[in-house]
Amino acid sequence: MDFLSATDGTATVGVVPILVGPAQALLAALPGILVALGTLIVTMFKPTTMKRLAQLLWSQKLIVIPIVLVVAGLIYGWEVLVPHGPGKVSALVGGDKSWAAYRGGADRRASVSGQSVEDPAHGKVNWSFSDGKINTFYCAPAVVGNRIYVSAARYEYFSDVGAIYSIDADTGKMVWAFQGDKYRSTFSSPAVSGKYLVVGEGLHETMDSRVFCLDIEQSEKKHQGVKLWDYRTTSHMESSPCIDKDRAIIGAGDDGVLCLALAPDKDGKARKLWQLPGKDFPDCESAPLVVDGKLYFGLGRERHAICCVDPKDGRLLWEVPTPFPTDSPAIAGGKLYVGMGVGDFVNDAAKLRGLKQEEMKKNGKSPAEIEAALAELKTGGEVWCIDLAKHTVDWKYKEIGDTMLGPPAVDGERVYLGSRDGNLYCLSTSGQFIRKFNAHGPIDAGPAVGNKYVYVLTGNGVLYGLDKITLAAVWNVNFNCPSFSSPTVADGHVYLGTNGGGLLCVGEPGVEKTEAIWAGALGGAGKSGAMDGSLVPTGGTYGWGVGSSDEEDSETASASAVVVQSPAACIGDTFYVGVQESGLCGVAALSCSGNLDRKPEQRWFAATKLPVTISPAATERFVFFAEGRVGDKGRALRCVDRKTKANVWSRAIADEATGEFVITAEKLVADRLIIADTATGLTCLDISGAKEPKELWKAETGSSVGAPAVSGDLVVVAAIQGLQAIDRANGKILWTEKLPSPPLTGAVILGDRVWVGTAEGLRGYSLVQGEAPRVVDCGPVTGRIIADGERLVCVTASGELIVADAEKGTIAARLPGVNTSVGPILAGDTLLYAAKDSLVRYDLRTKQGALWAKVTATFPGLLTTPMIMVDSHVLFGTDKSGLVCMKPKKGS
Amino acid sequence: MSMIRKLVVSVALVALVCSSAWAFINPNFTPIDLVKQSDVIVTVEIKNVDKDGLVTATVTKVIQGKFEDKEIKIDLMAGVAEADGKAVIDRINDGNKVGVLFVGAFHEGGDGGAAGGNEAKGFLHLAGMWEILSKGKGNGWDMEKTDDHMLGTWSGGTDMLLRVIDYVRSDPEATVPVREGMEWGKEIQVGKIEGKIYATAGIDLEGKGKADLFVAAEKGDHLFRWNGKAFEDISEKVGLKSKSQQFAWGDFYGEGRPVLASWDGKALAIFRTGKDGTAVGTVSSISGSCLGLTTFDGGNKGRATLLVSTNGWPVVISTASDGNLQTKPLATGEFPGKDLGAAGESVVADLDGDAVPDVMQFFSRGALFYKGTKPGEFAAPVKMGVGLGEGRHGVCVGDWEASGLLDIFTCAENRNHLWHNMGGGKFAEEIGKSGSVSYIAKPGATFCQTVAFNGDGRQGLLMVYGNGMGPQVYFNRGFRSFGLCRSLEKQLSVLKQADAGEQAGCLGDFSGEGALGQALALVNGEIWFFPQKIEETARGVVVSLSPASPNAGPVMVWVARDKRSFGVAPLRVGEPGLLYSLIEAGPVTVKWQFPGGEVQQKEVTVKDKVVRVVIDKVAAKAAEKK
Repeated sequence: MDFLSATDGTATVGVVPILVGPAQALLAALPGILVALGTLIVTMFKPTTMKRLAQLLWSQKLIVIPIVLVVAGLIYGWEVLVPHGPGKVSALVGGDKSWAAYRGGADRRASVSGQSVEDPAHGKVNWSFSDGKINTFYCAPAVVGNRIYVSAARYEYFSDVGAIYSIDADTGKMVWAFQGDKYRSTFSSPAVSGKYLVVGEGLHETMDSRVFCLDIEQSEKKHQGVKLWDYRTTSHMESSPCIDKDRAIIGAGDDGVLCLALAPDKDGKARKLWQLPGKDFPDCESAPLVVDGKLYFGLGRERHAICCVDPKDGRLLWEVPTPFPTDSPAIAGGKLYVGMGVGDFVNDAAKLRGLKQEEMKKNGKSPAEIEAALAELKTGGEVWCIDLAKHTVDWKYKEIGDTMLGPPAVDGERVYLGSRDGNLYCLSTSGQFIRKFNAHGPIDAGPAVGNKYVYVLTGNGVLYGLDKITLAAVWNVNFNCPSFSSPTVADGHVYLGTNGGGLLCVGEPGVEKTEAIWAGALGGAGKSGAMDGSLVPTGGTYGWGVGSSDEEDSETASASAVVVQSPAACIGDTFYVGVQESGLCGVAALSCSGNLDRKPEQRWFAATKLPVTISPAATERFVFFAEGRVGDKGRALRCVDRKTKANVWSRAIADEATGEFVITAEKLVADRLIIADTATGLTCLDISGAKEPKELWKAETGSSVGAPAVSGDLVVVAAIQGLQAIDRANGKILWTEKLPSPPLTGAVILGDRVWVGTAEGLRGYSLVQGEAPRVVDCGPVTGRIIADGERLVCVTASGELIVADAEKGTIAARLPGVNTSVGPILAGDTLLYAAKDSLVRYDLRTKQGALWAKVTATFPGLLTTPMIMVDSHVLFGTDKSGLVCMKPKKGS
Repeated sequence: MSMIRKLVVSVALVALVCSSAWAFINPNFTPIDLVKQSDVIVTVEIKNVDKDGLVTATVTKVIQGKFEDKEIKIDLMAGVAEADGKAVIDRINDGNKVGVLFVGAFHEGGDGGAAGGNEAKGFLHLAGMWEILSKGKGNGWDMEKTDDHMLGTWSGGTDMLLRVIDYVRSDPEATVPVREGMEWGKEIQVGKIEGKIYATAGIDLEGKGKADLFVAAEKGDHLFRWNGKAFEDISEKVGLKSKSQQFAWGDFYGEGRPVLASWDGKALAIFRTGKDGTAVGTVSSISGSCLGLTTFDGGNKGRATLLVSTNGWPVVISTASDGNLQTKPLATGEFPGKDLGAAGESVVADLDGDAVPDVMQFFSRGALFYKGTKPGEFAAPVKMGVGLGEGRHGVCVGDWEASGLLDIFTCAENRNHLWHNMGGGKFAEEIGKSGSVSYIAKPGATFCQTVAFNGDGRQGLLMVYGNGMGPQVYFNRGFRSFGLCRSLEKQLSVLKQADAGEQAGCLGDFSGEGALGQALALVNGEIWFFPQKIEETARGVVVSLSPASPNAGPVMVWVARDKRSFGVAPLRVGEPGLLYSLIEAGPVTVKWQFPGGEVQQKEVTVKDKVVRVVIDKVAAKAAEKK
């Protein structure tokens, strides 16, 4: 449905919406309806008909009069009793702040900065706002203090009504509304600075759009939008203004670019300071920006370019031509980032090509001319980076599947942008592709970037919160309602508009609180021991060693007094590690009291009869560990109180069982422990209570490798018989997938696949359908597989570290010379792995490796266990220095 | 000095200052960035420069990357700033022929910066200055300008820059510090002394590797000891009765403890302490001028020999077996130093790298070098140009570029010198190519001290001024390029009374925490100590000689970690030991050489504390094993 207008032979390739209400279906029947109605009205108003009608009504007056009164009362009461004015609202807070440009500022992050509240990462819709009549919000909300400022739209065939609202962010109640001067449906997003709110008016087919300026202070007092001035153009206006000192600048469609003074003239009228003519600056629908005294904006059809203008007088300083219409640019660090492509909110490139072809054929153009014209309308998008000092293009990234209709957001060294191809892209500020997230729906808006997460809203009404480093989805909310709006993050919530579903406040600060769990070896299947989201610093240095010999003389130093026998588990600031100390085996609890730079104290030591070589697992209440190696007699799975080490329970493990186990959680609490406690299968225990665990089921899987992998209700184990999927609830084996050779690693679940290492490489099987496996041909795999995002990492028997793309089944990186007995850590886009005499840090984005720390046989000793990382501190066992902590090197 | 000469010197000094420029160290573009971003690094030797400023230079070595041209041409007049080009011609004509050329598209990590961007540039380092070149035709380069900003990357000699390049390329953990990386903790008042204070020093009276603070004062010397909570004046306890203008501590009597040789302005006395630590008074005295005291091992069965600097021949004082002192001049005959200006102190150390201590007797305009022929014996002196400068002065030795040879730093009322040891007993003035110390350090310092204080093992420099200016501590970026510890300067301003300046000061681990702090004797007589702020644990190595050492020294000590040497330093009995604070844990190699002896070594691992190595005990143990 569109009112796309083709002008002078060229198909419109605008980037802004061309929208209508739902009445188009009626258009075809309209003439008939009108005729019928007209006939009825004429018939009714014939004098004889009127007289008869009046007589009828009077004869039934005892019934008619009460009905009339009730109806009138309802109508009156609705207007009076049902509140349409402002509800209970909080006092204005933070009104001195501003939102002076689209998406909050030059970096377009749409996030209120400097707040101590965590980014939202859980929860649903907290409230929705609509005044009952208008419930569509195309704009990007502006958040200033505890007020949300939005424009709204109700565009139907017979009606075009808009409004400007101030909403109480705390309660979702309307503070005030402006609907005066027949304000129309609007796409433009407000800008706020001090007492001034400036916003455009209209949609694409509004040919005399206005700019409005409201007085927020007076509006707040009067609970009603108070207009200072308005200015009428002769074109549409989907741009959003920016406020720079005492002026507002806005794109005015085919009327060029307007600069208006914030303060009205003495007659209360708008003061135009300057205007760039539309004939020279056509189709300016992007949101301009003023940065360091210069004005930047993009142009649409006919003259695609990024322009730089003096905001004082509108003088063009320079421009950079672009091949496509551009959207609103983002600026940070002296660079301008802008997306562009073919297509708009209604028409994708294919449709535009179709329209163009039709039009050119009608105009009698030759096939060659048509082909040439269509070639310019190819599907795809690009992002450019322009150096503002040199006015040159630093880089172009062209691997975007479709156009971008929202601005990029720049956060530090990353640029985020959403595309109609359904992906959120993350690039480095130097133009390198980092990764992307498939949102499975067109992204028509700019993302919002908080402190920890990036938020993206799809056109079909799904909001995602993604880890801004890994782009792993941490949260999503499905509104089942389309949206052209862009999300804004403030005060631990996301605010966004919808098409017909009102203005929404969504989410709560932080992630859903769950019990802290260390699920098993290195955090669980597919984990690498980096569980808290901290990043690998650029360099590491020895921090401390627990249990090392005190002898300082290298020549006479003996082996460590404490032998670390298992990887550590970590809950809070306490590590749990299997050790052998002075001839005694057991698990030691070492606490750093919140400061990992300090050597920890031993809180307790739980002695065991047999060595603990499998990593303990832990929850906030308990620590679980398995005594003994395969073949030892008298092995046991034990549970001790995490604080006191008091024995809670103990269960036997068969001599020949692997003893590998994992803890799972449901409804935020650790509730199950699944262990290979026999040579032939798994046992599932209910550990949710504080007493002896209840055995829930046993599954005869055969001898397994590694710990089971769990995802939702599915448990997958790599066994001799093959990969086996088990129902977590009842232990029923759901399917078995034979492997061409025995598994060499445990199973790992990534997305909708389970992966296992074999002699042939990595093999990935669908969790559901048992379709043909995806194979990464890297050679025999040893150790563990790490799975993160779309990446798989493993070490081969030949000492190569393999990074594979799980989606494509291809190898993205091969790093030789890797220690095969100590797996790497994967944190974000960085690997830390053990090589000869060193730990090496490898950046997966730049594909550059660098020495992270020297770790030699002399000092601190040979690594005897895999590494874990907590708060960017890396811990591992050594033969000379016990449990060693490598801390971030200063300056890194 | 004639007026004209003074003017010339002044102009030269100004030119030196200006040419060294105000180059604050640039943390965004260090030599590591420079090397890593260079596509090519070559050394060039200037063959000639013609009248139009066209330089012809031979490419003598390709250090990094590929460079086909065997010869390059540089048009020094191509740039806008002709004056820059002319200045380069002057430097070339002064004999600076060797340069290093870096070629690459350089960019800084932060804002602002040197020539950079996507276009490849040439950075030519020649005579301590940076010239920015852009590629011309063929093998030609056009000079754009002299870039002072690049001095923030490296301010030092080209010879040292070559060593930096080699270091960065060979050590994946290479560091070139841009700041001191440490700070002082809360100041502690040590005491207050009336009258003039001549000097402060750390001494290890008990041989436990701990430093007590000795203050030489007009109205009586003091000794302060940290008792864990505060400084205690133990002068009376140890029976300190001296009033020293010059002093030296040594075990002159072979009793296993250091005693004080003191010059009070009139007479020299050696205060022999009793076995319980209390002094028993003077044993002997000697009259005559005394401009400095130092000790060495004169082959006197472990008993230290005292060297007294005078206006003439230095005097050697040793103890006989009966305890009496024997004196003799270091050499005889007509004294050759009369035309070298005012005499100053002497330094005894191995200055020519042959493992035998030498004597350098300093004068204001030169020095006499007495080469050690064997331990305790010296050849006739040779004149050298290593002068102190005029007026009150200080001297210290240090190995600031970790070459294994001791350089000499002198400070005086008119200027400072850094005498770079070229080997074979030759020294060259290089203060102009030594980083911040060349343009920030002022004349007027009366004391200087070499210290490895900031955790990277590199030897830094302390300068104490007697003219109302606060002390300056310089960290070493490596290879004799210093940076001023600005934050330490600022920290001293907590003491308002320090605004008037200080009379004396030194660095030492006086609070026994394993890191060097700053002791200051202020103009008003207050003595203050600023301990080093330790975040987690003090790490490092202390190398010392026990008081019962069979050799009084100076023992030459080298400490190294992996491939990086921390440089050589001399060590004597009575000194509190050479403390190398270390930020990083790990193995460290300690090497030492007694005068005329073999090089010995020991590996230690520094983990969470300061490791103490008493080298004569190690040597004794090793000898036992044999």
